[in-house]
Amino acid sequence: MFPRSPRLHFLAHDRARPAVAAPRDTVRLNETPEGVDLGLRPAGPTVRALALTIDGGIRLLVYLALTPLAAFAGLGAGMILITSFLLEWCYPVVFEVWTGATPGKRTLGLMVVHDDGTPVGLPASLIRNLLRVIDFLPLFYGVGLVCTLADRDFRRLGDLAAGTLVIHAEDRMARPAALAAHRDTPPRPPPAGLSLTAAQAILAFDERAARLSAARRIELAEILLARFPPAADGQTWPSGPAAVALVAGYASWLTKGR
Amino acid sequence: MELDRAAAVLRPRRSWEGVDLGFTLARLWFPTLWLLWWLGILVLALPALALVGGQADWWLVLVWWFKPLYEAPLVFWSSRALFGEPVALRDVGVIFRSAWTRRLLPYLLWRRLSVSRSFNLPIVLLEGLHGTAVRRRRRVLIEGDGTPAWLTLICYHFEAILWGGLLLGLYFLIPAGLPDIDLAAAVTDEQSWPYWLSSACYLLAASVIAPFYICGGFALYIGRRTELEAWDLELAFRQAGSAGSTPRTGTPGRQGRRTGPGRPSTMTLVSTLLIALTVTWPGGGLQAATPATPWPDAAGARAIIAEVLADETFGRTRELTVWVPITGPDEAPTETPPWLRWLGELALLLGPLLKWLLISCAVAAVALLARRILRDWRPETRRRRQRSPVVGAASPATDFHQTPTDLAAAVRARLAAGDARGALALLYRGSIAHLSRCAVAIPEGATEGEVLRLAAYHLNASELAPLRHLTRDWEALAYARRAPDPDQITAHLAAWLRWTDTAAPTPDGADHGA
Repeated sequence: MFPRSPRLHFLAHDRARPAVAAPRDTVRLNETPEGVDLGLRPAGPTVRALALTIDGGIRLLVYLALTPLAAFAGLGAGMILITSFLLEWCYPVVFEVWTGATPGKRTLGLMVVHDDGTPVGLPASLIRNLLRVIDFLPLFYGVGLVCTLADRDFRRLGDLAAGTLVIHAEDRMARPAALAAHRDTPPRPPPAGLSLTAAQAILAFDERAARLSAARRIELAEILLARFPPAADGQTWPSGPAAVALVAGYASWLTKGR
Repeated sequence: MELDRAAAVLRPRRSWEGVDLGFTLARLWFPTLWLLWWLGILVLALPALALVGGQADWWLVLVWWFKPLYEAPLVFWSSRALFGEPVALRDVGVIFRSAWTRRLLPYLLWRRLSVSRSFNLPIVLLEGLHGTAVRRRRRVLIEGDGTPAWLTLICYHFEAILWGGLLLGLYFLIPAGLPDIDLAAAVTDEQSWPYWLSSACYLLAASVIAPFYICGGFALYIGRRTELEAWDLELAFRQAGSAGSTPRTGTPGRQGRRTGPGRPSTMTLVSTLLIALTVTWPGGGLQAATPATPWPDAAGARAIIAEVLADETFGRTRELTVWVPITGPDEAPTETPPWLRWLGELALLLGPLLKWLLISCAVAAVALLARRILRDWRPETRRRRQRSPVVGAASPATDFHQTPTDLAAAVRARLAAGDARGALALLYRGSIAHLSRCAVAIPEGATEGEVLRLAAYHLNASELAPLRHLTRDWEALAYARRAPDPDQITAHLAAWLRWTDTAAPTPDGADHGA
């Protein structure tokens, strides 16, 4: 259907430099062979630092729980050494391969994936966690921090080597209750030729109207109606609360149909 | 402020994603923001140096305290740059005049230690509110969200990490032989040159983090306003008008794709079109718009539907040439022979049988194993196994002959019975047992010569001589079958009695080991 390779597409976009720079977003688009754009949202250094701190805290708790072992001189020291080895090297790998994220990352809604969006595998996870040693230099992830700040997708050296990304896994924006579940607005057909984005925006407006001030609701509804050409019978578009009601009617129509 | 000229995609985001957007923008604008920060700090740091009289610690505290002063121009510049009106660095005077206003004063005094500084600065600088209004506004915008405070805390740590990393990196990279950095002096001794170096490292670290910190807070502020005022919806509604007025061509699938939000090139196309439209439209724009397209009647709709469905998106016909095996009517699949079916049924019958057999074998194996383990771990077995090798090694006197308590009597009895060999053997074993009691460690498998050599270390000559004679006679008997005459044995017995009497007055025989 769309016989374009993703690379070609992006190259073409780069060459035709637009007059106005494309707006920046925190989404990294991956075009699949089917021509579907998958949006990944790479996570920045702040939230990752917080996740790292939580993981460090969890490991610290395990170490504290192990301190009584020090009473058994030889055996205890050996057990502590083995556990610390396993915790430092296997803790991230096991959790990343098993559940996609360490407990700290999971708490903050982060996830580790390959840079094409597939779940992270054992080799990639091993590489990115082995290079943690380099990222840790010279002091508490100094190299990793600089690398993360400089990279487009907030990748540290381990991520660059392994081809992985740390992304925001889920959209935790509060979603209002199901659309039109308790709607008493009569559906009103929107004007013909409504684009997909406009339809989505009308639905989103209906969802978020309760969070907006009344004046802003009216302003937005009037902005939308002003963009539509006047009706065939010469009737002008309503203004004020009537405009909001009309847009709510469009949303009802888009949800339920006629 | 024109939303459609925004340099970032405006949409509601999670707080942390908002911070990420800020970091993305900071990376984009980094050179400018960094230069602006240094310009701001130079204005203050150089006079401050003269003011504190070259005292590094006071100077650093002063420079640190007035951080909001250098951050305000960054906020101002970012706000202009975000909405497509970047101020050139040539107009640095304009930037600083707009940023350094009276409203900044609380942030240099009692609000300096506010935990959400980078989030509050845009409210103060860009909205121009005073007194209670700004307080109320801040409460509405922050709405109990802890992210601005976390951002401040994390950026402080980032600064510290970069500062420490720079200092440590320098320390590691200075070759041996050159004057080393005294790391302790670098953080404590304000009179030393390492302290100045450390201060410079701190300023460098702060200058790197400041653009990210400010843009992070600014993006949080923008995200919050986008959410509260639905800026993204306003943008989409404006674009809906322009998309709605274009004539319907092509198929809905393609149309939706072309105007999808993720297409930067179409985005810019639409926005430039939009700018053109907003410029040409004087007011509401109702008069300039094309007449409405009414809803088509049923026949027209059907034609449109047919046109839409004709697109290859909804399926098409293709001609394919492939090789397929020729199967005539006589080559129909034959019936399975009865014996094969019978075999199958038998296998079905045997299957469970085999399974249970295997399971019972496994259970039996486990039981056997458990029995074996239990037997091995029973306490008395363990004790026996531990003791037995010790017993064998330490008592050369134990024998299958029951050694009598009174050895001398036994020897005499054997002599009387004419058993010279038995008497001599008994006497020799008694000597060995006595040697063991005299703390002569006799290893297992030692020969008679070795026993004699070992005894020579522990006994004096008068004690050793009878033993040597006894050993010689015993060897002659044992290896050459030359039995000594009974008088000789009696002499040996007398010597032995004398020896044991002197060494151990009450020989209690050799019935137990040493």
